[in-house]
Amino acid sequence: MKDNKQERKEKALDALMAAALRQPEETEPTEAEIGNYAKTAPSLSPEGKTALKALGPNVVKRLIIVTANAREVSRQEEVDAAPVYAMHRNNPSGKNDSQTEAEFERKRKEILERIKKKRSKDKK
Amino acid sequence: MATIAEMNGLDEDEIKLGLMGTEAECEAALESLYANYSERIMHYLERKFPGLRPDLQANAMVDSFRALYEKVASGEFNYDKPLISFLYKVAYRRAVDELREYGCRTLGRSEFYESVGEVLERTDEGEAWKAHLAEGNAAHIAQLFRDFLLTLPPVQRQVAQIMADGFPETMPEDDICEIIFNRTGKRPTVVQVKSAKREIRTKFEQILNQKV
Repeated sequence: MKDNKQERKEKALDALMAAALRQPEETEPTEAEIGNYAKTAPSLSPEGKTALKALGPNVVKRLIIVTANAREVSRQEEVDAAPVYAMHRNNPSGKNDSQTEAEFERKRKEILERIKKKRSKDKK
Repeated sequence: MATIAEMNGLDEDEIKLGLMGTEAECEAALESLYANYSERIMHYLERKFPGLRPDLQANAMVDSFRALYEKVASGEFNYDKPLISFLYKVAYRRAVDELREYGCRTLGRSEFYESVGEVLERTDEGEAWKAHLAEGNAAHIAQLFRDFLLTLPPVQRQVAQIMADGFPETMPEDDICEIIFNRTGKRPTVVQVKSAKREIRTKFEQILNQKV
């Protein structure tokens, strides 16, 4: 039979262990923390490596196909329901309106400009 | 200042431009991101959530790439925001969701921390923890413990996670065996669970009492 002191000690250890496992759920990662993780070489546990391998080949290709199919289904559902939504939504096609397109193009040019600058800086 | 992607030899702007391009360019950009970050994000998730089953960690990681593609394809992705942080944050949120979904929490956040405080009152362990807090080492100690769990076989990691989920109740070993079976399909014996609990507590005590 455990004495009271031993029992309190175990309970205290359990409390701290529980807090150590629960604490990461409470705070979203900061940019600094992400930076630290992202720049260090990963050393996955053997189980982590197995889980990663179990995802199989062409993960990106597959997720693009699945996501594109799901988008197509949901777009079709919206188009079918367009008469019902017509009063609230003018754009069931899923296509971007001209303002969004212009903003996208502006952003694309901005990024392209930054890349050009970086490249010319690298050449120098 | 270098972006996170640039630290790994990737140009975040190049990737963003790829995502904004044709389908093939978008796919190539995602492939490049996946090749560079899938393992890193998994590594991040296992260090944060060692009690989450590895296949669920992998799902959370893949979900972050799926979420990115969804945003890109729907034109909702904000290209002013850092790309890599987006992936990590989505993976983090998905992992938390997974953990809460299969966990068996007895207490909400504030009740949980109140209970921890009560249990630690007037104990040596509570004093040791206070000292680590005062020295700013508490997060490091907690990370050392989580890293230790990663060295244990998955079934033993589950013992720690179930003990944590059930706190402040001390769950009977039989129940722990049953929950582990439900979570992993493997049923440990009561003796194995008792031995895992002992090992986990002993190691945590060592970590707690070490000088940082």
